[in-house]
Amino acid sequence: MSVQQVFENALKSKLLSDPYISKIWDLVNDTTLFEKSPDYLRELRKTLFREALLFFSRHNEYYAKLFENMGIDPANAELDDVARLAIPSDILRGDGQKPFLIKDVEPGGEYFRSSGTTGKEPVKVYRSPLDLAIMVKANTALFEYVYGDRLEPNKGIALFMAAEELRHRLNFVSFVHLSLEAKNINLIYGMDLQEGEREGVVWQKLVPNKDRILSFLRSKEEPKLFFTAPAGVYLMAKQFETMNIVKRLAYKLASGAPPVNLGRGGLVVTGGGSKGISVPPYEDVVKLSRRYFKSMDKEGKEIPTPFMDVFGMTETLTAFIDNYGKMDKVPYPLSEVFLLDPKTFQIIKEDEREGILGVFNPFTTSWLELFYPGDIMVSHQSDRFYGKEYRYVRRLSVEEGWDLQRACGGALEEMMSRR
Amino acid sequence: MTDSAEIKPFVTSDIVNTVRREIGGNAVWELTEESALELLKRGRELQARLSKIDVEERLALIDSVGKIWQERLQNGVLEELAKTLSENTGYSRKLVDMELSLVPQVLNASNIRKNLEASFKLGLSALERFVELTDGEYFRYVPVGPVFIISAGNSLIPPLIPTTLSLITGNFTLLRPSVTNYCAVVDVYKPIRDLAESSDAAKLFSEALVISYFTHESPTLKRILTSGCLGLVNFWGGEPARTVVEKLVSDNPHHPRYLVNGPLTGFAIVDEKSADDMCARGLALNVILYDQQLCSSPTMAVFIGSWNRAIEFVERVGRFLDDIGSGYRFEPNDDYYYTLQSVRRMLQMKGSKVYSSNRPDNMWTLILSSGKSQLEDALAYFPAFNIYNRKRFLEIVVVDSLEKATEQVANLPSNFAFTGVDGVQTVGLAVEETEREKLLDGLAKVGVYRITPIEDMYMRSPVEPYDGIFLASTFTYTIYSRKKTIV
Repeated sequence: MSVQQVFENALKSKLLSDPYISKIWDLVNDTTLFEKSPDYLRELRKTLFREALLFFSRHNEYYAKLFENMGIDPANAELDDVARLAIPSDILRGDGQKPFLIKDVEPGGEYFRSSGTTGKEPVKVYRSPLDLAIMVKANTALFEYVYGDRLEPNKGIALFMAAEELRHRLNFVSFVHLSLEAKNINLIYGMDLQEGEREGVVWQKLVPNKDRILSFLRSKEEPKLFFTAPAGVYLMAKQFETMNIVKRLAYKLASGAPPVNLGRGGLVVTGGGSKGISVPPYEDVVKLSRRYFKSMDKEGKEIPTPFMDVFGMTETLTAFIDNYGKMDKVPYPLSEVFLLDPKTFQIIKEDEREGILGVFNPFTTSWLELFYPGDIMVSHQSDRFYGKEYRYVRRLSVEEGWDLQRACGGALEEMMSRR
Repeated sequence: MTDSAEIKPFVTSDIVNTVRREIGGNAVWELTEESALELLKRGRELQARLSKIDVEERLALIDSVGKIWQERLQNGVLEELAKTLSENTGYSRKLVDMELSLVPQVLNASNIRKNLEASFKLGLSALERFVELTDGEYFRYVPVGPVFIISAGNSLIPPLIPTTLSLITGNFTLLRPSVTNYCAVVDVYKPIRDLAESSDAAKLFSEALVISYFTHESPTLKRILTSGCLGLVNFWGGEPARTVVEKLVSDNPHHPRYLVNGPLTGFAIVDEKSADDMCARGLALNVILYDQQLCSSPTMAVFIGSWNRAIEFVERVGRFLDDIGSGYRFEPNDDYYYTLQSVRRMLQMKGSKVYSSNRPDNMWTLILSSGKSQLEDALAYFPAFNIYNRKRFLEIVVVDSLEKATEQVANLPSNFAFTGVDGVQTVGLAVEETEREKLLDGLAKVGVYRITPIEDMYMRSPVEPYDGIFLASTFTYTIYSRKKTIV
């Protein structure tokens, strides 16, 4: 489905006639959302989560029963109630999402999956056309806020160290693909997906496509946007670092790099954390990579290459994004983010305390997207729109009951590591 | 295992050599292969001498050991041991204290006599000599040993029961306790050695008891099982060790019997007319004690009656769990909380009602499910929350008939959430008397071994069989002698 089809189908959605969904659609299209104050947005989200609970009660009897069983009155629900309703993402394996979908869920959407490398069924989440449209709009707006500028349509080129096939499987790839398509920015996939046989099952691995990578490196377009797992940019930088003079010259002749000139407004976007491959701390990845990936501001003056990291998951419509050295991770303004005490699962009120991340996206229309993915984060105060920023601490371990694999960059790394 | 715990064989013999091995970074000394085999060889001859001692004298001796323990307990001598046990097993200090206080009961002469009388229908004198049953026909109970007892688990009492009965019935007994309670087990039997200075019977007993730890990969353990001069191997525990040991025993040319006491669990049945405070308190107590790790600990329950009455009952049980549980601190590691909280939520999402405490040292959970257990589904997502890891956690399924209650008991062994246990050992009942009779009939068909009041499921009467058998009798065989011809 092209991004044009996504929007065409979304606009045909019958759900848009529901006042709540209509309100959501308006909010998602509101270009001033990031200019609102934290207090305004907090109040807005409170209204939204109450309305969302009412909407889902109307559209799936399961929720009505659940709220009653848990003694939650949607019209007067508080954030603590919302936190009580969060489900572990593990419940979404296989057909686990099914009971949570609204009865009038709209067909014609797409399924996104986690990597499923643990041998268990992967997490599988359905996105209706309207949800896909919201995903593109919301993530693009968030991305541009963190980037600090609009991505100008028809300008620039992007390289994603993933295979195109993953566009229909992994939501990080999908939202990047659709967002860039909406801007008519050329996106090159730097990897191919190869099928192989292992232990009697078909499995897939990613292998670099040198020609496509070279075409990105040689391109004179700007800005150049480089999407990769942290391991991808690190390994590339490391490769440049260890090249002898002869090899470096030969590579330079063939590709123009090192360094990779990302041009005015160029940047590196990472995603997926460091799972699967041994990667140094993120600051070291950035430090090394900045030696070989160069970027400039609008006036053409060299600046430290911007590094943005996207924290996305199969089960969330919108990501958290940070900009290294400028801001820690921020969610979409309408996402309700909370941290839970790892022992009691009560909401942590104060900042700088490690907690289990919980997310409620009231703008997802097909199911009550309220979950905790199994990651530890800390928050701190911020003068930006959300009032808080978040630092990623770690993924919960298998011993802690968590064995889901990351579905975006993490999966890429895993597949890369199997080569 | 704490650093202070030193694991060395308890043995009274001049032929003992030990070898150093390691478990979890701690050193243990176990018998060498040669020493173990030689001890077992001598064991047969020792048994003949043991059998000549009057049963009453044997009982008196074990009773003395229990009394010495009682004195040491009262004098505070066992303080350090209790601390070590609590650290090694993870049991709360209060629970360890309770367990230590039960040791004299296990070694009590009167209790053991009752058990022997229930086991040996021809009378205890048949343990000493041939006894005439009918005209010219005689019987005698003879030790089947040497007996090798392989015991697992954290609790102190379970290894003491077979060991004491094996010794009392005249067997040379080699005991391999678990690493966590090894020192306590040795401490219990140590006084036999002191008593040996003034009593020939005690001297014999001290020689007839050997306690040694063996690591899982121990060559000595393998050698004992495959070629030791054994009459019986009594294994307490589950897979995979159970089958591994069985295969080794099958190679033994002495063809020892292989007696398994597999992992079992408890089940509570309550009807709405009996769901009073006493019943709620009893259920709560049995959930708290031993962290639900005893074969009798209730790990599942049914409530026969209406949903609303079930809610009232669960709230009542919750209050007792708060009360009793705060006295037995349970402090799991950090990993446990996440899994527990996630399972609670999953069950809630599946329509069960969840009652719980969020006190980090008393995290109890009661799940109320209608008609069928929901735990199985939740465990499919969180397999780490298996029966060994679930603590202070009880699902109560609400049903409307006795038949459905019995069905729940029958279904437990095939429930994924109970993987690792063979079945239900103990059913704790709190039902009306008229219903009880009907229920007993049904339960007799579904493979349970004990049916007790809910209040003291964890308590054993001296006359009880163990998992369906009279344990003492399995430590002997019966010789038959006839004076006259039949034809």
